[in-house]
Amino acid sequence: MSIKNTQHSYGVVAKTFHWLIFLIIAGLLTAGFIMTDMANGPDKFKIIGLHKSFGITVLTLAVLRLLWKSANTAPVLPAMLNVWEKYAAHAGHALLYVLMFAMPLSGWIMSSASGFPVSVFGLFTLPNLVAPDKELKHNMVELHSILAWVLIVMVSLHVLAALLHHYYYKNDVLRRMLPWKT
Amino acid sequence: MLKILISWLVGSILFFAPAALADIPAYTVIKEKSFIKFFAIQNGASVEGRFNDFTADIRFDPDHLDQSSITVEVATNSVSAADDEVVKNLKTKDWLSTEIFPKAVFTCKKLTRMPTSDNYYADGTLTLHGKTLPVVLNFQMEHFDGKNALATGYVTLHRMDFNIGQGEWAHDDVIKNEVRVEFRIAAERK
Repeated sequence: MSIKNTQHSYGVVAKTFHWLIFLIIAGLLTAGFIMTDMANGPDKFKIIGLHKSFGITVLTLAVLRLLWKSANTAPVLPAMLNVWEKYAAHAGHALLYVLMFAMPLSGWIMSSASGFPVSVFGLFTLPNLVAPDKELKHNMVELHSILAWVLIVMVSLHVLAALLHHYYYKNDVLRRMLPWKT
Repeated sequence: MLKILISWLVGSILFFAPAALADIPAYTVIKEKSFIKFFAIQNGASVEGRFNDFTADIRFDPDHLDQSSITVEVATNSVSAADDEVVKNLKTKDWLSTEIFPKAVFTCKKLTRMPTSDNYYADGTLTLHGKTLPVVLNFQMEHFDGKNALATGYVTLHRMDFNIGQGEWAHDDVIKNEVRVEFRIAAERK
């Protein structure tokens, strides 16, 4: 398996970004739903602290991933797809990228607006993006939770599309992103 | 001759001593220009709160520090922060318990000025959450002209010494024991 992408397959770096970000996002969504229902207490604080830290990790990885993507060729989509299918694939991927930025950023703004700065694993504290603001905090809470559901829908569609390619179209679109496939 | 001298001495002591005691000027706090803030560390990040309602009884004369006195009374229920949820929690029994302990009081027992500077130490006691412990405030007299005074300073308190943050909060892994209190007191002569 090559480091960089080729016309027909993803390289190690692109695959690592894909699966690492997937794992962290799965954990963030799970923790996000659990912690919002938890009673106030140190455990809730701990999970929120970790949620913020991993959220900023995703934001950082998303930046690096976009940089890597821009310096690489992307494997082409199968020629048998029609125009709207190709358009839907690109739009879906673009929206997933938007969410990789919008989720952590709305969380960061939410934290700043509520006067709880973001510490990354206790190593350093991020600057506040905005001054404390109750209304803005409320709006960011709403946005963050709506985006969480949009993200769940988009990831589901992404998985369905991959399965469609694999079992129905019988092409290599799913296989070329598998971590163990060379 | 000796008699005259003694009576003159006694007379001047009787005349000047009460005058010196009575002359320590009293100051009132200018609310709009003053604040008491505190900073707690949660998950490694600093969170700010403040007490909006406090009164101070200040009698201050830099030349008579031994006769100067400071008492500050803080209404614990006036605690505020950016997040409503935090304020609600801070007022509960686990934290400030504002219904049972509506007032926190600092009483200065001894004022000391650091030589050749505007820095002072106020040794005293702080009654907070039903406990009275000795504390030392550091402050700098940023402005003093005998009519107006502006002091800024800080003190680091250990919340657990005052049993603040009880039950499952009584560990410093999520919310640190050290809480930094910062104040700015602007006052004018009565």
